Amino acid sequence: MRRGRVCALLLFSVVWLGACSGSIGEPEPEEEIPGEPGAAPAGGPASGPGASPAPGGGGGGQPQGPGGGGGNPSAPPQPGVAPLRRLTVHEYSNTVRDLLGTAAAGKSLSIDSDRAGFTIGGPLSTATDASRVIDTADQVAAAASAKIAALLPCPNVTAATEGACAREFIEKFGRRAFRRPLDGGEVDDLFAVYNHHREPAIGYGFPEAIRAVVSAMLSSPFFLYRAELGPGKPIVDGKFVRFNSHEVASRLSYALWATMPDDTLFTEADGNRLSTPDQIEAQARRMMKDERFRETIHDFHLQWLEIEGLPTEPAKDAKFKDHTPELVQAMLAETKTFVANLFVGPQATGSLEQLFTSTKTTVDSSLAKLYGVTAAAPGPREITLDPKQRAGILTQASFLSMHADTGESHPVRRGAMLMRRVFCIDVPPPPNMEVGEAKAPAPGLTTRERYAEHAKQECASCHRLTDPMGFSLEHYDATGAYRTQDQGQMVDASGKLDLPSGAVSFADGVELAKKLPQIPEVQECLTAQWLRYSLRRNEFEGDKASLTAARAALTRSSGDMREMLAAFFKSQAFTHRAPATGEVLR
Amino acid sequence: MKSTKEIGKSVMKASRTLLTTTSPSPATAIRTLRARSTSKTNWELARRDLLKGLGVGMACMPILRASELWAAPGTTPKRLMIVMCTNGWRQALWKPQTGALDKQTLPEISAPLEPHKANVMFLPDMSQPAYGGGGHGSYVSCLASGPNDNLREYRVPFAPTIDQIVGPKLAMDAGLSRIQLPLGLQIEGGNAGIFPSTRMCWKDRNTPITPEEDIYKAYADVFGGAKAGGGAAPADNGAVKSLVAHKKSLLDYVGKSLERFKSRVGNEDKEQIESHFHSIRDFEKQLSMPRADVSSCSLDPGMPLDPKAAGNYPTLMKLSFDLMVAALKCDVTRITTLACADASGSNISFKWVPAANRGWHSMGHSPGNNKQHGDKWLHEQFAGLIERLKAVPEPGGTMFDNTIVLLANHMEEGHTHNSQKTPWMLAGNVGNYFKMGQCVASAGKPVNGVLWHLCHSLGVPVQTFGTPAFGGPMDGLAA
Repeated sequence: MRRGRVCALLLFSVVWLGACSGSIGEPEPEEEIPGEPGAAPAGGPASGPGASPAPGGGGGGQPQGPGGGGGNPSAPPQPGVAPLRRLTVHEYSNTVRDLLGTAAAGKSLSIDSDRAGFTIGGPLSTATDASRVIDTADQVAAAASAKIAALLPCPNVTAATEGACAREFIEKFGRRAFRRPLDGGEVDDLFAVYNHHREPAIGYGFPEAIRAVVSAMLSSPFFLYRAELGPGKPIVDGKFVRFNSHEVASRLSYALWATMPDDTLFTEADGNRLSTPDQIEAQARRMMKDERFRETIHDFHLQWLEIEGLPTEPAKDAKFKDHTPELVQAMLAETKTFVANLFVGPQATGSLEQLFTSTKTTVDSSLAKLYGVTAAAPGPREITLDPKQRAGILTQASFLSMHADTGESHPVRRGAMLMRRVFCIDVPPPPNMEVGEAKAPAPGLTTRERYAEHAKQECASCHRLTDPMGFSLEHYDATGAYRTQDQGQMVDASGKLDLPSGAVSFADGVELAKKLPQIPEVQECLTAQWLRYSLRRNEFEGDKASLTAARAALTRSSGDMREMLAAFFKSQAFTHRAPATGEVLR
Repeated sequence: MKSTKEIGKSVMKASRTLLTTTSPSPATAIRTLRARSTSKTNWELARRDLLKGLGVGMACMPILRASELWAAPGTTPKRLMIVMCTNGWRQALWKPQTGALDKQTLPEISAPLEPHKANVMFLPDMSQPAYGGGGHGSYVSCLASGPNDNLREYRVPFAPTIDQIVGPKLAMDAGLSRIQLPLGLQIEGGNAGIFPSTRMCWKDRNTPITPEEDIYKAYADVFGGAKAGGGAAPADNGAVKSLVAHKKSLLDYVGKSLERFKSRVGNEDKEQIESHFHSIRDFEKQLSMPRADVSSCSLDPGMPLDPKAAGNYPTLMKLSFDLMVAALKCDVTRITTLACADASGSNISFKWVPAANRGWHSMGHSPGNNKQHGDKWLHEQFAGLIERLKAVPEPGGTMFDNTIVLLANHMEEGHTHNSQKTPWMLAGNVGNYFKMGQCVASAGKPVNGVLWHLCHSLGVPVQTFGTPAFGGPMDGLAA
C-alpha cells in the first residue's frame, strides 16, 4: 500500500522504499480488501476524490497506469486521463467573483478534499451537501442581483419579450458560467427552469426567475466540475484526446489563476486559437505576468510545503512567548511575499536557486525580531538576512514552525516532510508496530541526541532518510528562531544525505539549502509537484516526456521556474489526455 | 393565537388519525405566515420569518412521529450519539478501578459523571489493532476499525464507520430521510481543515461525511424546514411552497444535468457523479417527506456568534449538545455525532478554563501540566449532555434510557499519544442492552468489540465489526 504513495516516475524511490519498509518487516495487509486500490481496476477507489495520493499510484484513476506505483515500463508513454475535479472552495469563490462580481459565500461549501497532495473539491454525497450547493447558489444569485440585471442582454424587456430575453441570457451568460458554448439541449434545460419559475407553482417574476436560472447554473455539474468534457466531439489525436480551445482556456485559467478564463482567453478560445503548443505557451506566459498569478504562487507554495495550517496558537513556554497569532500571520505574509516576488513583478527571476537560497525577504517588526534583525519601524519592509543563518524558503519561520512541534524543533517531522515534498521520496509513517515516544526533553540532552534511538536497526531503514534532513535544520527552534545551542550543547546540524544521484554532505541547513537547487531529485520533484498541482493527479510513466521537457527548460534557463512552467503547459501532459475507460468517443 | 404548545397538544390528539394523510394543511400556521409575508416577494422572504412561520406551521403538522412511536409499546426508538474528543484523558485522574462503580468514587477528571455513574460504562486501555500505531491518525479511522490506508499522517478507512453501518437501517426503519446529523466544532487555525484531520465518519474511503461546522446553519437545517431541506410545505402556504418548489426545480435540473454529464465522463468518474446524484435524490426526498414535529423542540440558538472564534467554544459546544438532543427528540434522525475538535485539537485554546489555558494539543503533550483541568471541563460538559437527555421524558423513563452515547477519544493521553490504550465511555442505554455502572476490564481488547455491541444494541446484528480477525464482541458489556 505504501509503495503506492511514491510517484511512479521516480522508480528509484520505489525501490528505496521497498527496502525501507521491507527491512522492518512490515506485514502485508492481512486480508484482501474489497475495492483495495491497485486491486481495483478502473472505477476503484483511486478514481475518487479522496483517493489522493496514496493508492494506485495513478492518483487520478489512470486506468492503464501503474497500479500500486510500481510502474510498468512496457506501457507506452501517453498523457494521463483528466480526472474529474470539482471546484475547490478557493476556485469556487474566485470564479463567482469573476462571473458575478460578488465575493461570495464559497466558504459554506467547505468540503474540500485532497488528491496528489493538493486540495480538490470533495465529493458531494449527502442531502446536506446538495442543500449546501443550492443554498450557496441562491445566496450568490441574490447577492449579485444588481449585476445579473446589468448582464441582461435586453434592457427594455417587456412581457412579450421576456422569454426571448431569458433564452438569450442563458446562451450568453451560460457560456461564461460553463466556460464554453452551450448546446441546444442545455439551453432548453435552463430555459425550462426559467419557465418553471414563472408558473404559478413558484410564481417568480422575471428578475427572480432569471436569478433562479443563475442558481441553477451555479448548481450544475457543468459549473461545479472541471471536467473539461464539453458537449463537443472530442478531438481525437492519435490514441489521445486533445483538449479543445475552450477546455485549454479553462485548464490554463484554473492552473494559473484558480479561476475561470478571462475575456482574452474566451476570445482566443472562441477563435479556436488555443490549439497549438505555441498558442498555449503564449497565453501561459501572458498569464504568468498577471497579478492573479501571485495568488496561485501563494497557494502552490503553501500547499506544497504544507504551511497552510500554521498554528496560530502562541506557545505558552516562556521562551516562545512571542509566538503570537500576529507573528504567525507575519510569517505567512513573509513567505507569500517572498514566493510571489520570485515569480511576478519587476524583481521576478523565477529562480529555483533563489527559492532555496535568497536572504532577501520582507518582514514586519515582530518577525524582524525573531530573525534577530533590529526593525526601525513597524509594517513590512524588505531586509537581507544574515547569509550565515538563513537561506531561502526552508529557513523561513513559517516553514520551520509549521513543521516543528509546540516547544521543540521536531527534526523527524521536518525531515519526513522535506523528503516527501522536496525530494518526492515518501517515507511512510511508522508501520504497525509499537513506537515509543522519543526521549523527553532534558537539560544537556540535545534534540538530536534524543532521537539517537533511530539508529537502531528496525528504525534506521527509514530514519536514515528523514533524520539527516531534519537535523540540518536544528539551528532553528520551534518558532524558527536561530540558535547556536540546544539544551546547553552546541547544535550539530551536519550530516549526509544518501541520495540515488549521490551523497550530499553538509555542515548545516544553509549549506544544504545552497546545494538543493542542483540536486537532480529536487529538480525532478519540483517539476512533478507542479504537474500534481496543475492536474491534481499524480504523475506516471506516460508523463515522462512532458516532465523531461519541463525540466530541460529549467536547466536551459539556468533554473527559471517560469520557463519550466511554460514548457509544461504546452506539453502533452497538459494539452492531451487519454480516453477514459468506457468513454464514448463520439 | 394559540401558543405553540397548545397547538401541539391539540394536534397530538389528532395525530393518530391524521398520520395516514399525506398532505396536511396546518391552517393556523398558514394564517400566521400569511399575515407576515405581506407585500414582500417570495424571493425576498426573510429567513427569520420563514423559520418562525415554519416553526408554528410544524406545530400543526399532524406527523408527531416520535409520539406515535412512543405510544405503541415496544417500539421505543433506538438512537446513537457519538462525541469524539482527542488527546486522551490524563489517565491517572480519569480511570476508575475495574468493576462496579457504585462502590467507588470517580477520580478527579471523571468526577462530574458521579451523579450519573449508574448509567455510565468506562472502557479504558482498549487497542486499535486495525490501526496499530499511535498518534493522531487514529481519529480518522477508529470508528471503523477496519482496513485503512495512510493519507498524510491519518488512516483513512476503507470500510464504513459505525454511523454509516447502523444509520441507514435506523433511518429506513423509521422512515427518516436523514441518516445522521454530523456536527463539528472547528475553531480556525491549527491544523484545522487539513484534510482528512476533520473527518471521523466515512461511508467509504472516498466518501467522508462532512460535519456541519456552522452550528447556526445546522439549526436552520434541522428546524428551518424549507430553508435547508426537510419538511413538506403546508399546502396552501404560498411563500414556503414556492421556495420548496424552487429548490425542487433546481434539483430537477441538476439531476437532468448530471445524467447528461455522466454520459460524457469515463468509468473512473462515474462513481463520483453517482454519489452526487444520490445527494440530490436524498435532498429531494427530504423536501418531499412529511416532517417530524419540531415544534416542541424547536430551539432558537440566539444571536449568531462567530463559530470560528476560540472564545466561543463553550457556547458552541452547548448549542451543539442542545441541537443533538433536540434532533433526536424530534426524531429528525436517529444518530447525531459531534467532533469536539479535529484530530489534534491544537486550535482549541481552553482559555475559558483558567487552570488549563493552553491549546488542547500542547497541554496534552507535556505531562504534569494542566491538562486535567481541561479534561475535567469536558467531563462537566458530558454530564450536562446526560442531564439534557434525562430531562426529556419518554414512556417508561427518559430519553437517556433510549439513547446510547459513545464518549470516544482516540488516544490514551496527550503525552503518550498512544492509540493502543484507547479510553471510551458509554452513557445511557438502549432497551437495557448494556450493563452500565461499571468499569470494564477492557485493557488490550479491540475497540471493535464495543462497536460490535453498539451495532447489536441498535438492531443491526453484524457478524463482526471492522477487521473480522478482531471484530467479535467484547465480554462483559451486555446486561
